[in-house]
Amino acid sequence: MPGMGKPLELTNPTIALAFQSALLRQSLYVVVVLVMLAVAWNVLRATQRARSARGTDRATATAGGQEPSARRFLRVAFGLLWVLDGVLQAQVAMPLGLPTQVIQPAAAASPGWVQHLVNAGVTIWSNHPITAAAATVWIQVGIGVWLLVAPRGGWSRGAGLVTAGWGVLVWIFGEAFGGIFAPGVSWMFGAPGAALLYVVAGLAVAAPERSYSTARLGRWALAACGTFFVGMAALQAWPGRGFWQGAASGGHPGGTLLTMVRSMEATRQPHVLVSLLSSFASFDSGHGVAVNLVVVLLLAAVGAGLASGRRPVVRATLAVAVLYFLADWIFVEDLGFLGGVGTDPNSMVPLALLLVGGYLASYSLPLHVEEVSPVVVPIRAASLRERLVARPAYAFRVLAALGAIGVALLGAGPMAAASVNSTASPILAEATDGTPNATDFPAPAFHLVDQYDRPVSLASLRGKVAVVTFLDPVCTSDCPVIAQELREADQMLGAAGRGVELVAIVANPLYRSVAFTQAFDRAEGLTHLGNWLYLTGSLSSLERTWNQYGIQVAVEPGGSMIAHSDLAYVIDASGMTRYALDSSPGAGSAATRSSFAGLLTSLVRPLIPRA
Amino acid sequence: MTRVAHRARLALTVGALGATVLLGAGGTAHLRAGDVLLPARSSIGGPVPLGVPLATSFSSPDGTWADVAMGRVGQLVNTFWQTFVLRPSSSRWTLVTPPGVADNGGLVSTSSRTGRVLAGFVASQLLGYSPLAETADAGRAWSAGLVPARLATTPDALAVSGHGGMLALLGARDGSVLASSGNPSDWHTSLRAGALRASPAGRSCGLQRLVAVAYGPRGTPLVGASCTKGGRVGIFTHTSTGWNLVPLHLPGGASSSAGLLRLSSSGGRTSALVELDRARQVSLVGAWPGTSGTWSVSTSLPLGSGVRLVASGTLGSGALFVLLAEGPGLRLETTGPPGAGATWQELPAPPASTATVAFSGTGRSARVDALVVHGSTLTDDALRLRSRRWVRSQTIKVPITYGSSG
Repeated sequence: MPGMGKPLELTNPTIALAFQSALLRQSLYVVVVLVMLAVAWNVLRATQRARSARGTDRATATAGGQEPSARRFLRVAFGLLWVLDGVLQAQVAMPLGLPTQVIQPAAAASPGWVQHLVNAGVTIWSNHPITAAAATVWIQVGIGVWLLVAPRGGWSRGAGLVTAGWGVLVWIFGEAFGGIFAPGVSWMFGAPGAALLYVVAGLAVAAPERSYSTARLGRWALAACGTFFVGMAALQAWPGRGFWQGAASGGHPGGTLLTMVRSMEATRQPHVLVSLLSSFASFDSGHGVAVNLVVVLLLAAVGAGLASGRRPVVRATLAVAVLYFLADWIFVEDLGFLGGVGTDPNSMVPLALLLVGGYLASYSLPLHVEEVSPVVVPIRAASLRERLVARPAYAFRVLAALGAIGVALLGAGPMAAASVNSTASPILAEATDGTPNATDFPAPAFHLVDQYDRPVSLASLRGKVAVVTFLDPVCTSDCPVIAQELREADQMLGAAGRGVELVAIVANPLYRSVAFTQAFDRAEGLTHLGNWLYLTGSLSSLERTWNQYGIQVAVEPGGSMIAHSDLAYVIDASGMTRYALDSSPGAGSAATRSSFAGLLTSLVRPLIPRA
Repeated sequence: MTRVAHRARLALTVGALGATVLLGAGGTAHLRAGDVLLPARSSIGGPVPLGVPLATSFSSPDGTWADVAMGRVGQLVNTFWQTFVLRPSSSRWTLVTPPGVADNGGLVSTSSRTGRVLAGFVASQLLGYSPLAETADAGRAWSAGLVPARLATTPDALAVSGHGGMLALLGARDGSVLASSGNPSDWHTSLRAGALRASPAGRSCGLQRLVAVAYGPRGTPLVGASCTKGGRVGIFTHTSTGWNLVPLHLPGGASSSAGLLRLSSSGGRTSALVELDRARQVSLVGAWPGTSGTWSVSTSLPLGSGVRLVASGTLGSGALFVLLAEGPGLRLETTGPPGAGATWQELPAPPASTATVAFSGTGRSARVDALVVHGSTLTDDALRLRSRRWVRSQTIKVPITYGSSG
């Protein structure tokens, strides 16, 4: 049973191809949306020109003024970040890699209630990896484009709110609350979580523009950041957390920072980055105390400078902070988006952007910012249609925002549907075992006894669909999993299961008596399954059956299990073999079990005779 | 900036600092509890338990048997337990591991005085019960049986009497005992730990959990248990009046805390190995039942700190041996012939990586073999008694299929 028990490779070809196909197919939908928007735009332009020619255009120049520079900076910067993050989500390893390589490790050290929350999201993703991965691509690209194309007004503020909402979901389910409930939390490693910074930016964009008319918002933002950094400095300086240590010595394990950097070194990345990380790790190994002292002092200084409220100090602090963040981004966070499952550039980039935005909000004001107003209509407020017709720029922005929302919905819709579907996608079973082979030959006969020592033959199963597989009753790994998959398939069939017999045949020449089939049934909770048969017989009967069904069974020496083929057959009610499947359960996770059960159910259900 | 805003900023800063302090303290406490390696403490208040590995050897009329772990020990799915036998008619060890079941969880073997050997597979991974294998021809052929639950992971989880009766100790939380009259697939519950714990005998020793099964000299069932009361060894024998605690007088009396490590009846000879803790001095004591029901006790074998039990077992006479890891080296000790005051004797230190030692023959044909394991290769080093040196005498390559168990 080669490969038994091994999880799917992150770049499994079946999954990768299905993921790319899904993105390509959905890209076509995006193209259709863009074409429709282009048509609508052309219609609008034609209408606008006709109105201008008739002289009926009552539009006047907007008295809206300029978008506040801080808001524009944050909107554009985080819009670009979302687009980048969306593109990163399209990496081929994302469907299988995100839950196991990113999400679960992030929650590993968190309390049980955090892991419980995170696992709820992991389960949805693991059950529907293609849908979830593709959905995340389009949601994030859509949000990013929406931020970019809708500069002001309700459409823009809506983009900010959606940014904050999606950011909260990512912060909780993708980042385990940024690891703030786990020991070892440190600003250096990304606390309080990159997604939370996107939430802050989103709320800043969603805020009314009059919030930017004074320096208060910016000053408060900088003060809050300053307080945060002072707190992080205190945390970094706290003894007993491993940060005051370099290399392992005297029975003490290596320092926390050194361990993190060493783990980053192992990420698949350009050699120049590996060299940088290695050099820094070597330096920290011998100068752990000095490194942490610098980190603490710089953090405290940055915090104090930002909180000072004095422009020259804040400006100088900002410059130092950006350089400091850049250093951490390279030497500790390792850019964040490498290795094949990097989802974003981690926290230093959005943190630096927020600081710049805060500075702009504090000190770069058009002091009198007027709300964007629609077309000035002397007598009454213009309707949306009138605004669309009268103002080409406004019309373009609305159509572009609609397009971006459509892109985001292209992901959100399927994601929502997947979250309520507890049956995993069949793609997982196909990735583990390949596509089932359609067959059309008479099933070989067998004459055996069931777990109650009653004679059972293939002929006695006529009139029902039979799923026949081969299980070792003393197996320690895959056979119990296959049995549970069959049990789960029976649950999925529901009442239709009365037309199906689930048949297992013993695949062990030494441990094959009825006592063992009964013991297996008890251990696997199969004793109450009304359509379950676990067949055995004399050694010659079993060998004949194995040969006829192409099952290899070998006694392995040295304390090993019996080696046997993992094959299952779907036999229709007339005794014709209709499908042959590889039934190896792979890693046997809840997702792969559900997937195989769902696949088997989909093959069996059409064959069940109607009553 | 207004005074109000300034005060508000100050309050915010102080509050954030305070929260950070609490967060750091909580995180540090969490880390500290997980980071510091506390010394192992026995939950029964007795001596620090040495732990009882499954590696063992014993004698039966059909030969000397040894169970050792081989392969990539430390990786559960790539650890494969092997059974070897030194038949009376041969001078070489033979691999006789029962086939058909993955034994990554361990093998538990025992024999009766008639030569019947019973091997149990400690269930591992997803297997929910323990298959058995039985042989009456020194491992040339095995027949199948099963215990309908998981065996306890202890070398004394099985016992077989000369009359064909069998006992099996299950690995549930505190253990229960199944009995069979001879069919290795037909078992019934003989004793539940809770019932014994509530009995007068159980209360008298402060019984905690069951740890071993065996048969006495007359074929009476014996059950071993861990006890909390000082000076008491949890060996219970079944009589017409029920289960009774065996009177076993230990050195130091009630001031010693005692832990039962082994209770074996392989080859028809019953023996017990007890760990004593008296004033923080840990020592080992052997014990054997007499025909009158009284038990005799050996002298104490003092142990230093940091000692680890590698293997234990019995000689053909019923004497005991222990293979200890002390620092970088190994130490081999045996008791003299069973009886009151039997003294411990240290033998030359076996080679490094010795998994167990086996004693066979008597008198001039007596031999001591150190079975040394390196991955899938077992080497037999025999002790030359005159020169007291270990000499390589045999090498066996075991065909292990790594990765076959999942």
